[in-house]
Amino acid sequence: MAARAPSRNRRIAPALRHVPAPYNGPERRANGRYSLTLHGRGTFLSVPTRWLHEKEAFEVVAEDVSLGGMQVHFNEPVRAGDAVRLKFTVPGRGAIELDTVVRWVHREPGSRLADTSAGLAFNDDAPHKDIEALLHASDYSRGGASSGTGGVTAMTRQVNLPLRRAIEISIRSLRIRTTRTLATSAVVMFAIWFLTLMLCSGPVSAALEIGEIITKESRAQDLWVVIVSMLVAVVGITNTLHMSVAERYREIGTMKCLGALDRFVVELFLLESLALGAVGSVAGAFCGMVHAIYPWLTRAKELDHVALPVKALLENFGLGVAAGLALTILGSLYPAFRAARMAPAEAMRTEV
Amino acid sequence: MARKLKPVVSKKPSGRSEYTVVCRDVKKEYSLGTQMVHALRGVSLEIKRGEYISIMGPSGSGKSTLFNMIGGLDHPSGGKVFIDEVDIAQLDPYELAWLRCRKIGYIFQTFNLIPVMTALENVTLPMIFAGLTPDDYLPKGAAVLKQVGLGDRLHHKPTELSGGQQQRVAIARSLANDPAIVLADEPTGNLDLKTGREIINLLRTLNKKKGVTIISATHDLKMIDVSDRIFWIRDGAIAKVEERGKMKISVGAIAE
Repeated sequence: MAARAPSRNRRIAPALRHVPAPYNGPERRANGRYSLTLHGRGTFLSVPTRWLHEKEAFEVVAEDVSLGGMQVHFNEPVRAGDAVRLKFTVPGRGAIELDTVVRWVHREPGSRLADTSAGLAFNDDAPHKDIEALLHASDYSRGGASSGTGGVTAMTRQVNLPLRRAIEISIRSLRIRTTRTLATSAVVMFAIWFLTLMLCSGPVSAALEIGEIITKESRAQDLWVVIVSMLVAVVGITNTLHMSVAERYREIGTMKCLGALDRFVVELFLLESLALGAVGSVAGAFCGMVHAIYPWLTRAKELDHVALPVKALLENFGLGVAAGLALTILGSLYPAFRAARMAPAEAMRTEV
Repeated sequence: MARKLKPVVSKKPSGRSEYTVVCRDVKKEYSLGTQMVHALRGVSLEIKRGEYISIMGPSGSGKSTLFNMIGGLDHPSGGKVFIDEVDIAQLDPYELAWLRCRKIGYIFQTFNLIPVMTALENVTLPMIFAGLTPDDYLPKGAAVLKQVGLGDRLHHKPTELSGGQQQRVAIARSLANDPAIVLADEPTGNLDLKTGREIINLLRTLNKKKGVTIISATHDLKMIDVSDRIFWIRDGAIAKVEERGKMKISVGAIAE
């Protein structure tokens, strides 16, 4: 294919010169039109003058096909005169590639680029058999979609669900598992509570000067306490999240059977863990900080001139929240990703 | 458009095969520790549109493995599976998800309903994946559940339903996006005799009324009476194929 490219550009040149003006008269299509919905991919063959690169593939949805050309919906800013190569997968024939020229472009006033429809004319050397295969695909798509009685449907690609839907589903699945959600959230909270307490008590006790003379040894010990509390948080949170995803492997397998994309499964679990991680970490960091301030509160009267190290406290609060969020995502991302990548049968037979 | 093309002679696709599922020498091997298990040793079969097929055989004979291969739920170690003439090994993840979503409905022995969702939510999940809006999927989900006789159980969770009712929900879910093929893996395995018979009758009715191709892996002999063809599997290979009317086995009458 690549070897033919230079001559192809020369051949397209006449088409570029004869782009017809927009036409609004009666139907003058030379060949009968077949309606269908067929998802495919397109690439620009002409040198694009926009931000889109040549050879960058984009999604197209074909609607009407005739022997001369087809109507296609684009997500990309096409213009009349562009040369486009389209690729479709059709039952019985596999992938079909057709080179076309954009004859007209229609955009609803005020619409976004996504709503562009365009008429593409097949190049003269487009194999007749391939065009016919597309026309047959139009029969397939009509027969299958409506009746559902075993008619063949043209193979199309599963669409991605919008993020809003994923959020809806993950919130719903958090709510219906209230106890599980609360328990997981509580683990995150306690781990981050402990971590933030250890992080914050350093600056507070330094401000209060209760640790008479701060020796090198006691500073080293403080550091160790922080490190250990960090380890507790890492192990506790990742283990809990891992288990809460792993116990749903069968569910993940089932969802994939029902047509969920891998991406969607990962997205779902990420959103869920992000939500409960956020609640747990903020609550935990807040409790830890208050806990650390407690000695200052009780001794406020006798030490009325001691200011709180607010900046250090807030920094450590932020650190606690960030650690909590990062650990929840890490803890759930790995098992969710692993389960989503598995073949459904494999995910369903995996026992944890 | 100055084109020298002959007009399309046939509007109907001429070469459309009557077979909806075709397996060619499908093999599957698992490694169990150091040992290789040959679950399938080269299975070839062809299934026509609208047939009711049973895949029978003793436990461990490879029924479920074959079921997973036909349904695109697992990758074969060798050979090819074609669904409507498309080699499913060639599909990208998006197309595979599309296939599982709209072309094939799955029913499992253990029902595999999402435990925290109500019957209606379970049935509408594949519709959500297919991009339907609540306005469309809620009435459609209710209608499908009514069709399997659960019109009054829409908002019950699986734990509040009996085994037979759960399997009905699973059947309704498998029909959510009007699939051409329904694959059932031991659909009556966890059910008592009477409920099992009801489920079989339901599947047969759907097969007759909607023309759905039903392929069921089972060792339930009650299935024999309703099946158009039976593939007997033994040790990962097809031992024999029997057609309806040529069988002599009787396991009591099943009203149709």
